Amino acid sequence: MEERFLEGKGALITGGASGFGRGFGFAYAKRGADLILVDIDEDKLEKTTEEIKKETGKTVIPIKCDVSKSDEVQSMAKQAFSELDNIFVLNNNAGIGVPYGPDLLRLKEKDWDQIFNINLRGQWLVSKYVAKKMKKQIFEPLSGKIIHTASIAGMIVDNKIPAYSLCKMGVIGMVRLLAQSLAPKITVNAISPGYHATGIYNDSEEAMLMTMKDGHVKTPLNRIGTVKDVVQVSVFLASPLSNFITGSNIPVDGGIIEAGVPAYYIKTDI
Amino acid sequence: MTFFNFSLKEKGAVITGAASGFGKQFALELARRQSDIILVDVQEEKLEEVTQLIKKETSQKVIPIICDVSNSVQVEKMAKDVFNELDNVYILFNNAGISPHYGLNIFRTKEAEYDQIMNINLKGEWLIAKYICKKMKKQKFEPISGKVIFTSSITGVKPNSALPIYSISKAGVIAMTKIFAQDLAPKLTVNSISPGYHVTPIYNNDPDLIKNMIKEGGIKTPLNRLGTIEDVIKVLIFLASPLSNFITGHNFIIDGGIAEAGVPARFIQSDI
Repeated sequence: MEERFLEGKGALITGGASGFGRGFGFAYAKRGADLILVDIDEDKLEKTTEEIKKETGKTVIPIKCDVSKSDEVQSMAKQAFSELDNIFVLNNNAGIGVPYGPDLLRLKEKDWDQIFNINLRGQWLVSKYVAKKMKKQIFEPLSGKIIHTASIAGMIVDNKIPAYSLCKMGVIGMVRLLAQSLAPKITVNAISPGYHATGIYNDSEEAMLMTMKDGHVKTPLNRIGTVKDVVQVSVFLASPLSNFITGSNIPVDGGIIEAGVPAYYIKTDI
Repeated sequence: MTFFNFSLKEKGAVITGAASGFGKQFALELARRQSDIILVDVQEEKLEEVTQLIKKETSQKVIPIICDVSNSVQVEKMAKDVFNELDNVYILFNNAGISPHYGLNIFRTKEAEYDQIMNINLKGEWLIAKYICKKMKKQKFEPISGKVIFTSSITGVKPNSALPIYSISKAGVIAMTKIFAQDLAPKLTVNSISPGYHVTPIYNNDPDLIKNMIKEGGIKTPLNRLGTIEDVIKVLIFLASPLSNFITGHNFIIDGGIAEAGVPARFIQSDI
């Protein structure tokens, strides 16, 4: 399953310095891709770039960019296409978490704005400025593949992270719209991770388990998720195996959302 | 296509509806990955042909079993035979199904046809899972002791009023997938696939027949082509592989975007 099907192809990953993004980078480079890693955290970006280069020998270009700023995204896209011949895979993955707890009535306006600007508007801007050129590439049968990182909180609302839930619902909707606009040359799909100990929980498994307990979450497969679980599905979406799938959202959550119990905080007895 | 190569050595697979279409091709792909295979179908001659085809290309054990999946006596016996022939069943592809006459709406559908479709497409998939999965759950493979894949359809996601009972049976399969995912967790993953319009024997391998249905239903496919058997097989390979180990209860739509980004079949004549 490590065939080099991305040889001669470029992959651009936002939020590429850590967590899932870092995992996508390693997995794609191992399969032959050259990479553009986009992140706002310069130190981590540099570190991840060097690690992937060293392990895979592929070209890895780090670009510092705040995805919520249009001018930065535009100049990032320009640089990306000047560094690489093509961008075949775009992982629109950059995102932030929110303070856990406040519901929509207590949520601060600045928190709403920040999370929407990064998680929804940021993914839109990146697709807007990168996808147009991807569409014109002459690979067959598809000229590119776009993968957005959504969340299971975007499939069923989570009242302790309400703004995060809404952005991720927006991402799932946006994926379908982009799938229409970019058909038939580019497939656009989303991955919805469940609970995986990444930077969004400050890499703390304990913090994550506490939120799961607080929300009475039940995971059918009875374990927490890993970065690898999500990376493997992204490899599938980046590969020719998924060429006839577009507009879909694939939950990677051990079954929580479709066969388990997603977070709830309702205290009624009846 | 041995793309995405991984080994299923010493792992068994049961495939229903194995004599043609998706079942036949998936059986071949699994055998190429060193799985021993039980092929289940009601079409005896075709089943024998597929058996010979796979034996010729691979050195795997391939056993054909004639079984009507809607008949519980036959299914129970088949399941027994399966575990006599194989040490284990790691992959179950619950795929046998029939398609009805196209075009009869739900009022004009005959009771006999309703019963036949439901008995094969829904009850049949239930019986197969009921009699095979219990033993699969007790197997000692790590981290997952087996993988179950049901064949549904995009008509189970977006009901098609020209295929009413078929649509209902396939919607049932999607629900059943989620229920089995709960009952078989954490040792088995259970997922379904929902193909769209693919050139298969269900349409006599005739692209024109499908194109007529697409035209009549006003279907729009974002990826702008008909599906192939290979499109579906590729996703089945992913579901048989360790790459999908953290996914259960999900329905994979493989339709070029019709259901989620396109226009599914519609027959509404109104102007407003």
